[in-house]
Amino acid sequence: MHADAFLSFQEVELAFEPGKPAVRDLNLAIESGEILSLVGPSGCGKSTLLRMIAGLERPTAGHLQLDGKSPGARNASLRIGYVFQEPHLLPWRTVRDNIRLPLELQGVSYEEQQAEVDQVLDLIELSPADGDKFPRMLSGGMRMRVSLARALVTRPQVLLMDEPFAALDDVIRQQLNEEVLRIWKEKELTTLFVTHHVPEAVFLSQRVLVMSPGPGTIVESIEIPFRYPRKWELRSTQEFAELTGTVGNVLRENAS
Amino acid sequence: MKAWIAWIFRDLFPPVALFGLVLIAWDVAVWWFAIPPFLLPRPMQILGTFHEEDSRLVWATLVTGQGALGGFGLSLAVGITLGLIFSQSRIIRQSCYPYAIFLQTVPIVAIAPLVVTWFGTGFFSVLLVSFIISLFPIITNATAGLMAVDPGLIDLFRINRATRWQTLFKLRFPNSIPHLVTGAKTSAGLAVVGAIVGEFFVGYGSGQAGLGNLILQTMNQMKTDLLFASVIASASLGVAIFGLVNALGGTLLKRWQQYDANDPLF
Repeated sequence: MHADAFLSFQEVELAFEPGKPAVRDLNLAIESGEILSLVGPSGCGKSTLLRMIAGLERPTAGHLQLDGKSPGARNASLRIGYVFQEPHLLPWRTVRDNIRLPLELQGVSYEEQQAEVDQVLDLIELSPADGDKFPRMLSGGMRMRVSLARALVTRPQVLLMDEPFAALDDVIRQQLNEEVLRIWKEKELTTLFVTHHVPEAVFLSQRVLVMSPGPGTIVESIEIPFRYPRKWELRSTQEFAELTGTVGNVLRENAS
Repeated sequence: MKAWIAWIFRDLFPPVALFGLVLIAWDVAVWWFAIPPFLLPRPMQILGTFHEEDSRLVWATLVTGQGALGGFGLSLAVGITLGLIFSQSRIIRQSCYPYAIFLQTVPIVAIAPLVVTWFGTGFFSVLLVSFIISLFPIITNATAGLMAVDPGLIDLFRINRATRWQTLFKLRFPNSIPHLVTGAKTSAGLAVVGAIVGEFFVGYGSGQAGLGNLILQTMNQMKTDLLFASVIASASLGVAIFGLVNALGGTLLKRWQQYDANDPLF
């Protein structure tokens, strides 16, 4: 049943050292256009799971398929947008040159790169003047937007976000959460969001997956029934607080 | 304007005044102790020598400058190339890099006589000694810069299926520039030392007319005033070449400045 899904994990295991799996028994099916979050204590393998989807790590056992292909294979031709915990911008390149980097690496023509950058700057609501700045001239929140723009510029099939907003203050984090939802809705972009911040996970997702450590595995999938578009006010409702509490409890029960 | 005046009084005046005092003390000491001029000439005498021998000194400085810049340029080219090779092959790096570090710590000047034995007493030997002495800081700094790439950036390039060449020239090489500038500053100073040492070993009978030759010649002839002038010219050459590399490096590094929220450009 899993194998037909857009993104599927079947009994996936990854051991960096033989006999000591970092993650195991991963079973997961994600439909195209879903948005979901992964929460869990640090070191439980949330990032490892994302890295496997991105092809940065290869499962040592089990099957992992994205759009019918195996990530990391040389001929897989999957387009993956990845937003890291740090913005990871190249300090010697302007914002525009940073955003077009993935296209440049793929050998897209310069004119086409520029056209795509214009579109994505517009999507992410950055002004053309910001495009000519260097990363050092930007605030933390702006750098993260640029990082997001760079992940979106290839029109990815899946957007993977690895605790991207953890270093930002609450107000900016909430702004960016709403931004992510707007882009997800507009592009119908399958999105996986790793966070250790439960309210953020509940706010963003259709489903929250809870992971437990040692070795990491998914212990529960919790449906989040709120309708989109979701706005800031949602976070002060009682239903939101109850769901956050539920997720928090599951997290605590499986923490050790 | 006010800041400018303050700068003159606070930062410029004290060292200049000290320099003047040392010159006066020197002059008085030579007169007081009746030191013969072949041991220590008076400051004004050295200044006079600069005036009399100006064309010879300028020429010698230019010759040595050529050797030093040639050696430095060759070090940059060879050092960066070796760094690029080291960054691409673990085997080559592991077998060669320890020697690069080791040779940086030994007085490589010692091989200058060998160079002269093999390559004769011409300009080429001078350039070669300058090159050998200034090479190792470039190799070690280039290699360090090419290897010290944020693993997250490597991941970014992998996700976007960058080729080995793309990762090398769009990520590793630009990333190494700040390290390279540091290495180049050390190397530039050493290149001047190397050129002068090379000229010492080439000797003054060789037709080479650099500062090293002039220093050797004036020392043997007890022309201490011209010896002093040559030493001062050597120092000026060193400062000039270091200043040039420092200025070029600083301009280049503006782009490489790391994130800084307090940056005045913000």
